[in-house]
Amino acid sequence: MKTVLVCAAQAPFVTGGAEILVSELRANLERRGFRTDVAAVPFKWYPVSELVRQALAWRLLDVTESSGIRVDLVIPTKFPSFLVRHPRKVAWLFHQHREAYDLFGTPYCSFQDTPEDVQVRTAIQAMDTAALTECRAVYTISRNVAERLRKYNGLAGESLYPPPHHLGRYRTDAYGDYLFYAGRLDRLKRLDLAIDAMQRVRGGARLKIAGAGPLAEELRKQIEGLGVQDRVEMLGFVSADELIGLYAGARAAYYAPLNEDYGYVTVESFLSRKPVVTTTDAGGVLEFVTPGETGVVAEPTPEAIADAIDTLWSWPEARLREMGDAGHARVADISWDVVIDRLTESIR
Amino acid sequence: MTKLAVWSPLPPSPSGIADYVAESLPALAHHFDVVTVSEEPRDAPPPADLDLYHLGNSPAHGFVYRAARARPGVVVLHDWSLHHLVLHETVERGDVPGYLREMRRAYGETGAFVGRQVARALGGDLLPALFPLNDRVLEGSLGVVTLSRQTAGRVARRLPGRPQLHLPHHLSLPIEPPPARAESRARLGLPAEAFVVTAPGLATVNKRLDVAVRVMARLRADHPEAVLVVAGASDPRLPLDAWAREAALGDGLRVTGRLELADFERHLAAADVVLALRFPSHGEMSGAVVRALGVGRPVLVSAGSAAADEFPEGVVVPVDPGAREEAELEAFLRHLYASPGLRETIGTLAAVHVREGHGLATTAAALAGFLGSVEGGKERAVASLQADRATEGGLMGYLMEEVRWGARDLGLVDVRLGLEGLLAPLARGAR
Repeated sequence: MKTVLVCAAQAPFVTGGAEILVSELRANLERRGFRTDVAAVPFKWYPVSELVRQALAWRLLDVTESSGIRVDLVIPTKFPSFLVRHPRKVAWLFHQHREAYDLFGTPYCSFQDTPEDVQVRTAIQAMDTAALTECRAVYTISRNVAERLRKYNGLAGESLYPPPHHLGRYRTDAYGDYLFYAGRLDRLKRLDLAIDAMQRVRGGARLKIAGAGPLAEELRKQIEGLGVQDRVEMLGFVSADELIGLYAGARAAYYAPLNEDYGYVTVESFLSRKPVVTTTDAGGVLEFVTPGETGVVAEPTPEAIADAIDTLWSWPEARLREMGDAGHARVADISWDVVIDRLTESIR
Repeated sequence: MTKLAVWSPLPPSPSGIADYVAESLPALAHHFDVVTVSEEPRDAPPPADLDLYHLGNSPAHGFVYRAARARPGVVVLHDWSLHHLVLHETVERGDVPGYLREMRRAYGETGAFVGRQVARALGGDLLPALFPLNDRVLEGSLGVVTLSRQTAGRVARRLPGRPQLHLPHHLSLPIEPPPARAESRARLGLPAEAFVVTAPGLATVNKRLDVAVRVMARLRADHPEAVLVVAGASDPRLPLDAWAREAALGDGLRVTGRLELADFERHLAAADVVLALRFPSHGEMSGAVVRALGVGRPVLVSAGSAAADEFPEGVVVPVDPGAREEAELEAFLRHLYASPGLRETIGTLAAVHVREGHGLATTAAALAGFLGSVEGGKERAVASLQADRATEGGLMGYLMEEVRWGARDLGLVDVRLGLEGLLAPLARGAR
């Protein structure tokens, strides 16, 4: 039996999409007959000065074998786990440390324009380039992540889309009167734009937001401040059944993060045969959403998003169903078997 | 004969360390071909088989600090903390980022946080004392000489296995045997019958003179002949006069200004009690304390300071620097005032103690023996220091330092981590 070690950087007590994805990768590797384990090293990404020190912990590890069991393949996932040393390293890159790359210089970046922070950024880029060059193959979870790798590190990566958590359970009930968002409530998801847009929509659109995160209180205050409590509902954490039901009853999904790596919301929405409202700068989301065919794409302003929502609300259900079907066809090939086949190619 | 380069400020530099080194040079010259470096060399440093760096926590030692970092040698650590020296080398030269780098290198994230406060002059006196910033010179040394047991223990924990010598601070008195009390007072113009409490050396904020002034004022209310003598210069920032006015000490305070060594000794001999409090302590061993003990006077020191740890209780009298410091000091002084016999007993005990273990010839011989053994293993030690290192300015050096911090924190400075093989491939990723 071949052995595979999945390498994961984890912030203790925090569980997000990456952690779920790692656990599903492990489960599917085992399902396919690989002896699999996960090596998770705690990672703290702040303050900026500590980043390199935290990352280098991976470099000091020897994972070539464990208690006499040879490790045939390691699969690093996100930064900095790919710094690990192994003769057969195949990366499935969720994302790099984006503050050192595309987010640098934006309001979403904590790096300052100081010699120390510049040194950290330079070191991260150098380490990433070198460590990913060591890989037998580099796969990314989206074309967007691959494109960043090409742009900033001069490396080629091939996109390999991860299936969403509840693959096989998504369904379509109706095209209701609400837009739906599910996911972590943080600044990069830009829910503030959607809430602002809801004050401007002229049709009867409502917005339901499921999930938790550091921005929950701020968003709640924004909803009250704009007086849109009757149009925007914050549901908090919802169960798997509720999540599937909410997708199934939505008119469409809202998903407009800034330059997103991939975006499960898009895929989950398409698997529920619902179009997606997004923005022109949403990154990985745009790999799936074709304007007018599988969703609507607006400029990242409340006014433009409100117009896009009104447009969506003006269309008959048949048009929405047609877009939903097109979306479904777009993601129909995403499966764990495809992912496992590619990642384990070198040891099968 | 081994050529020894001795790096230190020398007289007339206004520093106790300058005096200390000058006193020790003749004895060292019996063992080595000594060349002294007392200021920044204009060209290359003088050729030598071994360098001896005298480091104290003051700007006067800047050139020694830089030399010790550039060329490994034996470091004599006069103060445990070099924080003020490093501040002078960085912040006071406009290099705040350099100071923050040093603080982070030595103390990680906490160091960076504290450093930002200190760099804005918000650190007070306590924070620099808690973060000694001596790692650079200690790690880069071939051996370390300490002048107190307290500092020796700290160095041993920091650099296990590195050659180390605890060298008792030598006793050097320009007038030997020391002059009598009455003779000294007559020469210095101090009243023959006064109760004289003398605080020797440069008066700085950590010498607790505000406390001493208040206590002496209360003592004078009952014993008007009591007088506090500050035998040395006073830091101009120290509001000694204001403290004296506030406490109504009147003419019970005398400040001499900087003294020649002979008069300094006379002031110690003229004292009934010597006050050598220090809090916060930077781990410094005071030459004034050793001299005061040598002339046979009872010396009050701060509990927890290097002097309190160096000498047995009874040879020195420790005063707790906590909340009860003032009351404790007052009780000691009143008791000593009332007990001339006790003063004599403590003073005699003190003189016997330092004359037995702190003689100049004995300490110079011990130092020479230590330097000889370090010099014998120098080639191997230098090779070991250079192994597993990289230039810090480059990416490789930066990565190595980031990892090495964890080892330093565990006291594993000398452990070869094999970082080059692990990290060189990463450093090659720089575009």
